[in-house]
Amino acid sequence: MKHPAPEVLALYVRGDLDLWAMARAGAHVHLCGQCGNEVQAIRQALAGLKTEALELPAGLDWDGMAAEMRANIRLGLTAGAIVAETPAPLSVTRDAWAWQLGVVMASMAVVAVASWMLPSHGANPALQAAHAPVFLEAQAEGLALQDHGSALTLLNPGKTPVTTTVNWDGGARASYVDSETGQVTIHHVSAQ
Amino acid sequence: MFRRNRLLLLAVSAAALLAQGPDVPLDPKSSFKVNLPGEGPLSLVSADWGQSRATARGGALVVDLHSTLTLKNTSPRRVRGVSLLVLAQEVTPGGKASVTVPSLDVPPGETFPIRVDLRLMRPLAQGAGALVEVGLDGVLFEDLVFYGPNRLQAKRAMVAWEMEARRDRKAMLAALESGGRDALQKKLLAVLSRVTEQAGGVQMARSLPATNVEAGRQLEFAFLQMPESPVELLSGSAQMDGTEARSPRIEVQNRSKRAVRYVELGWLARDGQGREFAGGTLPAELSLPSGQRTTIRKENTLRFSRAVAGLTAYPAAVEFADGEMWVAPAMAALPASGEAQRLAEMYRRKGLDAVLMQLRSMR
Repeated sequence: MKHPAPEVLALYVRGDLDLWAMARAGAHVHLCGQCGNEVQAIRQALAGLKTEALELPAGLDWDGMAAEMRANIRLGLTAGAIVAETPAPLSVTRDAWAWQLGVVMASMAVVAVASWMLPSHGANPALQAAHAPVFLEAQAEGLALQDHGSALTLLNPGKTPVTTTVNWDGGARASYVDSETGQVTIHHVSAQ
Repeated sequence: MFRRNRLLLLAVSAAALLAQGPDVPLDPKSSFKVNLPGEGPLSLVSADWGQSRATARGGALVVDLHSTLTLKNTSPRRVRGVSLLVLAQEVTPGGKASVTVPSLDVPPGETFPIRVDLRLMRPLAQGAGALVEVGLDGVLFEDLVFYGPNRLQAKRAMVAWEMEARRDRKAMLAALESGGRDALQKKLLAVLSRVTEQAGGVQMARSLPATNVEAGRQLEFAFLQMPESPVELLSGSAQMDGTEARSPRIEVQNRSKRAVRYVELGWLARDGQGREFAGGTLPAELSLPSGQRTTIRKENTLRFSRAVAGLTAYPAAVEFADGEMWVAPAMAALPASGEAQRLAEMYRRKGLDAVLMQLRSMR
C-alpha cells in the first residue's frame, strides 16, 4: 500500500485538500492504522499550538514587533518590485514548483498585508493625523521622511558605502562618493 | 499532475501581480518641476527623468524618481558646492529634503551633473499637482560667498564642509611634503579603512516625541578633548531606555574671546562590545558671550538598531557672532570628511598620481 506524503496528511487534517484528494486521503487514513496515528499526532500538535497562541508571552515588545512589521512590509514591496521586473522563467521543473509557489504565496501575503496597512483615501485623515507623527528614518535603502502615512525617501546608491549621521534636532544626513564620477553627494531630510 | 501544477503556478503569479498593481502613467513634465531662479548663478541645461516610474500598490502610489540634472555655472566665479531643495508638499508637508554636492570645482561656463534618486509613497487618490519640485537652496563659491534662499541651513553646512575639505587637502599636501608619496598613500588608506568600518554598522534612528522621560537610566557622555576648540564640553548626559536615547543635555563653555552664536556637537554611539555603530550631530543656536556657560538641551528621541552602551560627544563646528566658522581638526576617532572620502576613492580607482594632480590643482 502506498502511503500519502506527510504534507498531504497535514493538509488533510486542516481540510486544505481539494475534494477528490480529500476523499482519497480520508479513505486511506480510515484503512491504514499507521497513517491514522500520524493524523492523530498532527491534530494534537495543532491543538497544542492553538492553546499556546492564546497566551501572550510576558513583556511583549509591541514597538519592536511594529518596527519588524514595517520592515517586512518594505521588504515585501521591494520583493514585489523585483518580481515585477524579473521575467518569469520559461520552464518550471518538477522539484522547483513547490518553493516557487511558496515564494509567490509569501509575496501575495506580504502585498496583502501592505495593502491593508498602507493609507487608503477612504481612511479618516483626522485619525491618521492624530496617530501618525512626522518622523525620520535612516535605513539601508535611504533616508525616509514619513508624514501621516505618506513617505519621501532619498535613495542610497546600491553598492557604495554610505555614512549616515542623525541630527538630534530632527534631521538626518547620508553621504557617499560615486565611484564612477568621484562626486560626493549628501542627502538630508529634515522634519520641520 | 505536472501540467496542473504549472497552471496553478501561473494563476497564482497572475494574482500576485494583479494584487501588486499596474504601472500608473507618469508624465515627467507635469509630475516633476525644476525651479531655478532666473537670474541666479546656475541654469538648467537638461533634466533626464527617463528611468522614473509610478506603481499602484494597494491604496498607495509608489513613485520611483531617478533623474540626472545637468546644471551650468553662469556666474563669473568657481562653484564649490550646490544644494538642491527637494519638496514633495502633497506627500510630506511636515518635512523637507535636500541633495547637496560639495567638493566641486566648476569654472564659469562649465556644466556638471547632479543625480536625484528618490521614492515617494502617498495615497493613490491624493492631489494632482506636481509630485516633486526641485529648487535651489544654495550655491557656495570659491571665496566662501553663498547665494540662495538657505531654507535648510545649507549655508552653514556647506561652509563647514568646504573648510573641512581645505583642511584635509592641506593635511595631505603637508604629508606629501614631509613624508613623500608613502606618507600620502598611508593617509588615503587610513581614510578608506575608516569608510569601510563605518559602512559596516547598521544605523537607524527616528526623531520621535518623548513619551516617558522618567523611565530608563541616565547615561553620561564621554568627551573628546580638543584644546584648540573655542568651546569646551563640561558635562552631559542622555536618558536611555532600551534602544532609545532621549533628552540629551550638554553643558558647554565659550573659552574663546568672541561671542558664539552656533555650536554643532558631534556624537558617536558605541554598543556593548565597544564598537561605534552610529553617529550624528547635536546642533544649537545660542548666544554665548566669551567665558560664559550654557546647557544645550533637546527633547527629541533617537531609536537605535541596538542597545547603546556609551555616547561620546565632541565639538564639530562653531560659528562666532561675526559669522566666522571653526571646524574640528581631523582625528582618527572621527568620521572622515566628504573630501577625504572623495580623494581616497580617487586613489582607489585612479591611483596616487590622480590624487596628486587634484591636490595641486585645488591648492
